[in-house]
Amino acid sequence: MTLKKIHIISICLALLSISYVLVAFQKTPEAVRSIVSRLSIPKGPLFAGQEIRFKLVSDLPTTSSENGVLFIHGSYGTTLIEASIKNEEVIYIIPKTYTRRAGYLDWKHIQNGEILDRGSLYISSDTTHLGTIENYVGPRSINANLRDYSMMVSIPTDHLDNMIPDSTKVFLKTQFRDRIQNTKKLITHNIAWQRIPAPLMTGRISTGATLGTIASKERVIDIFPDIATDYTMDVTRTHSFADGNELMTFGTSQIKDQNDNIITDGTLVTFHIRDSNNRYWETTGISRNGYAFAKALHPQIPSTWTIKSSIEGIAQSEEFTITFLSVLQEIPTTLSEDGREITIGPLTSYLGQIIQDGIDVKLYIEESQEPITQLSENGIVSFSFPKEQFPEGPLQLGIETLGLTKTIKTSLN
Amino acid sequence: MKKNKTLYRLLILSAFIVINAGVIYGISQVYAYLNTGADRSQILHLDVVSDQYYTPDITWSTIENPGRPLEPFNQQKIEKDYLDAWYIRNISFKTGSHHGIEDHYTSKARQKLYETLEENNTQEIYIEGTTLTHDLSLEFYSADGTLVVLTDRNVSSFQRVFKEGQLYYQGESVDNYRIIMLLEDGFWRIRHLEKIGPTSEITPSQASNHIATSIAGINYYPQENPWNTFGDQFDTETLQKDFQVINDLHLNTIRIFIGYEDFGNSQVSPDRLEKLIGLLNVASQEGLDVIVTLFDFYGNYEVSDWTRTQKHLLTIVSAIKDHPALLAWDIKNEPDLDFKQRGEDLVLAWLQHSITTLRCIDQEHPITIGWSSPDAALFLEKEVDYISFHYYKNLKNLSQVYTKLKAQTPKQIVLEEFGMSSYRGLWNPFGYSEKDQAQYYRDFLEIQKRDSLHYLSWTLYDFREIPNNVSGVYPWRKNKQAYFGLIDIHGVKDDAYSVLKNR
Repeated sequence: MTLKKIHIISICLALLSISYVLVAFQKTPEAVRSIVSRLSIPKGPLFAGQEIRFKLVSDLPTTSSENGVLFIHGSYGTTLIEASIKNEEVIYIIPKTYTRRAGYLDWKHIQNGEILDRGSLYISSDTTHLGTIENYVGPRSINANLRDYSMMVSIPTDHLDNMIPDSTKVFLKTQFRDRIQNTKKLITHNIAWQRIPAPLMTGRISTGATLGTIASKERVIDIFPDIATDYTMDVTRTHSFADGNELMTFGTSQIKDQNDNIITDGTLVTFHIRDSNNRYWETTGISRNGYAFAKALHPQIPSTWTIKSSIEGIAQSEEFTITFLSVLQEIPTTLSEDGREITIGPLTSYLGQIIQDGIDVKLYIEESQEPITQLSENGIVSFSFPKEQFPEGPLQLGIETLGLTKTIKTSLN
Repeated sequence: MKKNKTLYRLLILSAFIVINAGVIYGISQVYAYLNTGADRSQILHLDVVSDQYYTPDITWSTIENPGRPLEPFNQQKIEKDYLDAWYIRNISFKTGSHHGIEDHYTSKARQKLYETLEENNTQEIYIEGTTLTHDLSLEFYSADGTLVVLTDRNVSSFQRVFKEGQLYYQGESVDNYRIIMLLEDGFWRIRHLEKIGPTSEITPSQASNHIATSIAGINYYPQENPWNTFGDQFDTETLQKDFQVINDLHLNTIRIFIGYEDFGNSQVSPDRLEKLIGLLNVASQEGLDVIVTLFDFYGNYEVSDWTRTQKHLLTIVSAIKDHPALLAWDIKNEPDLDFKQRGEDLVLAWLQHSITTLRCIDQEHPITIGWSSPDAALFLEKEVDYISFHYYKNLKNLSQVYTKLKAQTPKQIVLEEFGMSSYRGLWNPFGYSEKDQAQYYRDFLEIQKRDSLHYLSWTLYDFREIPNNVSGVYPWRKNKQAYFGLIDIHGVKDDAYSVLKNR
C-alpha cells in the first residue's frame, strides 16, 4: 500500500530557473547552500487523504534543522513543517489535517527567512470514496397553489467531508401520492438544487438525493390547502320565538380552497351579528373538516338578526337574516288591595309554559328615568311600595319585559 | 486636667464618627457590589454598542443568483457573520484557543479547524493574521433563506508565522475561496470552506509619481491649537490668515497631520473630514500645496488592527484624493521611532501594506514616509514615490548626508522637517537664541541653494502649550519643542522669518 502511495506520488525534480539561481547567488553566503538543495514536488493528480511528502534533494550532507521549513497554507489553516530524515533522505511530510482537505494547498520552502521555492498543489476530493449527501429542504410547508414552491439543496461530500467537484451527476427525487420524479442535476458551485412546485392537492412530498452509491436522508414537505374561497352559511334553531332561552347554531358550508382542498382544521370563522336596533356583536368558531360552528342565545325581545360570517381578510359568506317572534301578547299584572304591591306574571312562553327564570322585568315609577330591574322566578316578579317611602295617593307605573310595555295606575292606601 | 477631658471627649466623638462613616461606607460598597452584574436591560444585548473590531474592505460583486433574491438585511447579516468567522479564526490561530469557533462554524467544519489548531499548538506555532479584502459573489441563496453559497475572490491576507516565539515568515497573499454557509439558530455558520485557486503573491505596486514643483514649504499647525488642527478651535479664518503669512514667506507647500484617533480611527468622523476639506479649500484659495501626513499618533501596528487602519486610510483618501490642493501623501510621521518597541518587521510590513492600499485608490499623488533621520530614509525605498527624512542635527553634515543619500537612490529626496528651537530659559539656559536661529536658516538656505533641496521647515509658530503625547511631560523637552517657530507667541516675527522670506 505504501509502495503504491509512493508510486502515486511520483517525485520529480523541480528545476529552479536560472534567473532565480543568479539572483540567489547575489544574496548572502548562507543562501548558497540552499541552491544545491531542491525540493522535489509531488506530481500527478492528488486526492484527499493521500499522503503527500516533499523530498529535499541536496548534494550536501544534511541535518534537519538546516534544511529550512516548509510553510503550507490551505483552506483550514497555515502551519510550518520541519524536515525529517528517513533512510538518509530529507523529507517534509504534510500533516493529515492538510492532506485530507480538498482544494489548493500553497507551500513555500523557507530557510533563514528566505523563500527558496514556492508552489501550489491541488488536492481534489476523493470521489471514489463517497461520504454522505446532506439534503436541505425548505420551506418545509407550502400551500397547494400555482405560486408556491419549496426547494431541495443537496451537498454531496466524500468520506473526508470534502465537497464534490462541479459537473458531477446527482439524482434528486421527489414523491407525491403515487407520482415519483427523478431529476438528474449536475453539481454547480458544489451543490445540486431543484425547485419543487406545489401540487394542487394537499398531502406530503418526500424528497431524497442520490449520488452513485450514497443517498441522503429523507426530508418531507407538507402541502397545506391554499386560502379559503367564499362559502355559504345557515342557522339551525328549534323555534323562532324570542324567549331568551334557546341556543341556536350558526354553521358554514364546507369551506374549501380554489382547488377543492378542504381548508386547514382550526381556521377561525367569525359570525358578525346585527339586530334590528343596529347593535353589533360577534361570535366565533373554528373549522373542523371545513365546517365551522358557533352558538348564540335567542334574544328576549322580538328582533330581526342579520348575520354574516367571514374568515378575516380571506373569505366570507353572504348575509343571512332571521326573525324572532314575541312569546307574549300582553303583560299580566295583579295589584294588591292596598295598592302597595304589584305582581307581574305569570309570564308564559310560546306554548303557554312558564317562562324560564331570569327574564328581565323593568319597572318605571312615575316616568322616572332609572327603572328598577328584577329577574323573574317561576314566571313571576313582584314589586312593593312601602309606606315609609311612598306616601298615600295615586302612582303611575310602567312595566317593560320581553319587548312589551304596559302602564298601570295604582292608588296607594 | 479639664482640658484633657475635653480633648478626650473630642477624640472619642470624632473617632466614633469616623468609625461609623467607615462602616457605612463599607456596607454601601458591599451593597453596590451585590447590585452589579447582569442587568435585566442587558438580556437582549440591546445596550451593547459594538465597536468596529474587524473592518476588511468588503465588496459584493453580485448578489444575482438563481435561488432567491437577497434582501439587504440578510446580506448585512451574512456579511457580518462571515467576517466574524474569519475574525474568530484569526484569533484562534494566534491564541490556539477554540473560543468562539462554534458560533461561526458548523460541527463538521469546526472539527477541521480544531485539527489544524491542535497541529499548531503541539508544535508551538502561532500565527498573527488578518484578511484585508473580500470580494464576495453570491452563487446561491436557498428559497427558505437558510443556505448560501458564496465565492470570495481576492481575499488578501497578511500572516506572520511564529514557531517557538521566532518569526519564520511574514507576507501578504491573495486567495479565492468557495464557502457554503448555513443559518443555524440565528447565526450564519460556515459549513464548507475550500480554497479554489492557488495563492497569488501581492506584488508591491509600482511607484512612479514625481513631485513636479520644487518644494519650499513649512510644517503647519495653528498657533493656538498645535497638534489639534481639526479640534473645536478649528477656524477657517485663522487658517486663511496663517496661509497668507506663509505666502508672504514665498513658500508654496504646507505639511499637515491627521491624527488617527482624532479622526475617529476606523469610523472616521464626518465632522473631521469636513474640516479637513475646509483646510484644503483655504489652501487651494491661497495657492498652497498640501502634503497630508496620515496616521499621526498611531502606534499599534498589530496585525489584528490592520483592517481598522485600512478602513481609516480608505475613508480619508477617498474623501480628498481629488482635491486640487493635495500634493502628496505621507503615510506616517517618523515610524522608524517605533521600530524598537513594535518590531522593525512589523512596522515595515504595515507601512508597505498601507502604501499598497493607498495606491490602489489613488495612483495620481506621490506617496512618501516621513522618516525621522537620514539613516532610516532608504527603508521601503522601492515602494515610496519620493524619499522624505527629517534633520535636526548640525547643518554642517547635511550636505554630505544628502549627497550620500542621493547616490543611493534615483528617487527625489525631500527634507521634510528641519529647524532650530530658539528656547533659552530656565530649563536650558545655554540654548540657542533667536539670532542663532536666524543664522541657522541662513546657513541652511546656502546649502539648499547649492544642493537644490526640497524642504519643509519646522514650523511657523512658537506654541504656548505642547500636548504631553508630543514630546513627553518633561518641561525641558516641552519648552524646546515650543520654540521652533518663525513667529513667537506674541505674533512677533523672529529674525529667521525675514531670513527665510528674503532668501
